[in-house]
Amino acid sequence: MKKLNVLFGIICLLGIAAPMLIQHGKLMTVRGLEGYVEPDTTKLSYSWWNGDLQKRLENAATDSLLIYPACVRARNQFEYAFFGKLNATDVYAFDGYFYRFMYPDYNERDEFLGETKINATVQRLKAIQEQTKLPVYVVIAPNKMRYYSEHLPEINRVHSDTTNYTFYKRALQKAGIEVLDAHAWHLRNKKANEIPILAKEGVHWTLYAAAITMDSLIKRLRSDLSVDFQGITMEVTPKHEVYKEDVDLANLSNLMYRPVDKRLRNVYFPEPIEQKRRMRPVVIGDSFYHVIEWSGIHHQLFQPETPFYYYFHTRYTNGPSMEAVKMEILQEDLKQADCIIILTDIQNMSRFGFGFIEQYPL
Amino acid sequence: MLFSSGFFLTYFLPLVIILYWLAPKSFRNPLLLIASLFFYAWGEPLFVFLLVAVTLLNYLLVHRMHLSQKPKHWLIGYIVVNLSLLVAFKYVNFLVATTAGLLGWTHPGDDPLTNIALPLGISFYAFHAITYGVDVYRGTFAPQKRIDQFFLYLFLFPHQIAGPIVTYQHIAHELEDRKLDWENLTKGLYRFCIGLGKKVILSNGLIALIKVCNEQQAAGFDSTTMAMVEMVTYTFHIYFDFSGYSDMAIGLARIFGFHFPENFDRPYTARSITEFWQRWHMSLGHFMKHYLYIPLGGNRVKAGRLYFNLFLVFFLSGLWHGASWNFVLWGVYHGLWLIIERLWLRKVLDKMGWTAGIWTFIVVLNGWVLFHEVSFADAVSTYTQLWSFDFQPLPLVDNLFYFKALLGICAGLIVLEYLKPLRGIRERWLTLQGAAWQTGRFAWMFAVYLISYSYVVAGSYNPFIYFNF
Repeated sequence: MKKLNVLFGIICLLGIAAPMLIQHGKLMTVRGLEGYVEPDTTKLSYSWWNGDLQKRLENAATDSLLIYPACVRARNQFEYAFFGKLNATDVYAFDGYFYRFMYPDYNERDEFLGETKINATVQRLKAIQEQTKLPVYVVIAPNKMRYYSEHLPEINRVHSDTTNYTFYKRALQKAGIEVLDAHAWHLRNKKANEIPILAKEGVHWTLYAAAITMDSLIKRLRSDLSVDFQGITMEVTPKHEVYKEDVDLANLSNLMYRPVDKRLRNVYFPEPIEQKRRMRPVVIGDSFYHVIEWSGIHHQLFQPETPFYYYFHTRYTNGPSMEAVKMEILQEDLKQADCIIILTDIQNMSRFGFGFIEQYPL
Repeated sequence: MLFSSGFFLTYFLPLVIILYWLAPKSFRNPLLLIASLFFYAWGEPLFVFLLVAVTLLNYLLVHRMHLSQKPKHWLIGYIVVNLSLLVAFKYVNFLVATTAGLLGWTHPGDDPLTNIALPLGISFYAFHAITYGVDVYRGTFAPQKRIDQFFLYLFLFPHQIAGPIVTYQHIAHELEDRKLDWENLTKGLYRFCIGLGKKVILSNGLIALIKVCNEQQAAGFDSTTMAMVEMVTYTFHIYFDFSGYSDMAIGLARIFGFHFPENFDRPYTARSITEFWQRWHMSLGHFMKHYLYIPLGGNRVKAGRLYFNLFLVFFLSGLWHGASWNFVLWGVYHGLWLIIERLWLRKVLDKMGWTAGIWTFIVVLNGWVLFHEVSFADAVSTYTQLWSFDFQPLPLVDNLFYFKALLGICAGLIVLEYLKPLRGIRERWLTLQGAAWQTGRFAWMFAVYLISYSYVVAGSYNPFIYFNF
């Protein structure tokens, strides 16, 4: 018994000293965390007497530890496994599906803007289309809460047709504005899709879903504008492989054992054999377009200078550099554009156009 | 420095334990003293000098008292020094604000008298010092000749910040000579880990729930149901927080060969308020009984004086907990229940059996409202809500299952303390020898430490999805 006490005692000593030994012996490296922002210590001096030095050392003993990412993951895994709790702002998991903006009381029906406002917005968009002489294409991205509604708690399910989605779609079609309802299309093909359109662990559509949606859009544009634009050339990896952004919510949740849908495949966009003219739209969209902006789809389909107005507050073009939206630059962009694409998730239809429709001078 | 801080767990504790084990016997006390002074100076880099000076003065005063023909005068001086420290740093703000309020004065907010920072652990330091001086005066023991041991008694880091209040007599022989063995190390660490788990997994989770309750109340979801949830949550929180801290202190002391007294003994299973105070913060109860209640005459006085003594003891006990009328009223609330129990209620409770436990729990629950709320007006508002019987469904909040589970676990742990057969299993779990049992306990300790350490280091890391957009 005494020997066992000695053995446990030695293990205890090594155990409590392990973080310190790992830190100073640089014994291991741990994969970094998603979404980590270093604590701001710039306002702290190095004085012992006012306690600033102690605060710096406290920070060093937590955030700067080599095993800090492992600790965060262990804590997160414990809480997820036992309580279903995810430690990332606004991220929730139900039935193994990760969602954003949902529980506790989100329901799309509560966001309804009213038919009058929706019609007025659509009429204004029509007027913009006529003034700029550019066709407007509205792409409605697949919505996770509707797509996987069977996995949602009852309170979050939509049982009403009085929603921005249905009213906007109807009003846009009535006004003669092109609508590509990718949500309805993907939902119809839900069972047929071998590769998920929306990953259980991601907030946005998968790169695969974005690619086939853009392929469909290009086909429509070719037909409408009578221009043979460059189309999508993609290859799917035969084995399970994950594109990082497809499982962004799981990544952000920083779990030890990241749940990953085995049906996921990565898609590649090889250089097309036959080079055709690439399209140059003005894109106004939400983060669903981000999936495209940083991928091979953008490079393959669009001219590098294609501007992306993110939520109509930031303008990206040709890479990650960004600038604030300016009306004179927008008008210059429109002069060189083939069309206007408004890409939106159903949940974002309460702010359809993200301010573009209201702010554009007619 | 807190026991549940990253620096303490990563650097301070492992270094002190390893150095302590490597040090020759004669170096161990000086090492612990240096570590304890560093521990205190970490949080109070300036005040530590004042406390060292006061400790020197205390040392001299006690020795002078011991040699004096009129020790009582020296004892009074000694107590005045230590209480002055407490009054100056803890109660001046309160006294100035109360006096100004009574006289109708408006005092500026930046008045230096009302902006004195409360040094860490001052209340515990003062009470430790008082027990030492009084016991020497009573002849319980001769004053410690070795100044380093006297300093070590008062500064010993496991009890420095939040107790338990350990009388000198309790650890006197261990200050002189104590065993350094693996059993103390493993048992001490086991107790420390359990305390750490209570603090960082349970208590800190309950704080988050209290915050959610307050947010919902501010958003207009105030009802009796909500007020009850907050009251119950705070009741569990304060127990797991304070008893967790005491477990950590007792465990740390054990690692270094000291045996501290227990501070909690299943308080929420008490069947009367009298019994509750024999189970809750027992070291404070011991202090109040032996250094205040008994000197006032204890039970051997007339009924009127006895009730006055009880009232005074609990009035001062409330005031000791914090310089605010809420704490005083909390003390008085308990004091009054004690008097009522002495008058007639105790006989009724004795006949009620286990239901007396429920009654006592309800009384304690209501008392915590005074302790929890920041002002008397807030407490009145909560009581109004609690007793309005305006039961409303609770709003849906984030992480609802987590909070329900947390409350369920805490309630379950308290029920486990209540049920005798389960208590027996717990006792057996802690005491059974044999390789399998020891390995089981070790594995449990390891898991709790791993999770608790992860909680401490991970802190409030909670990324936002759009960090990269």
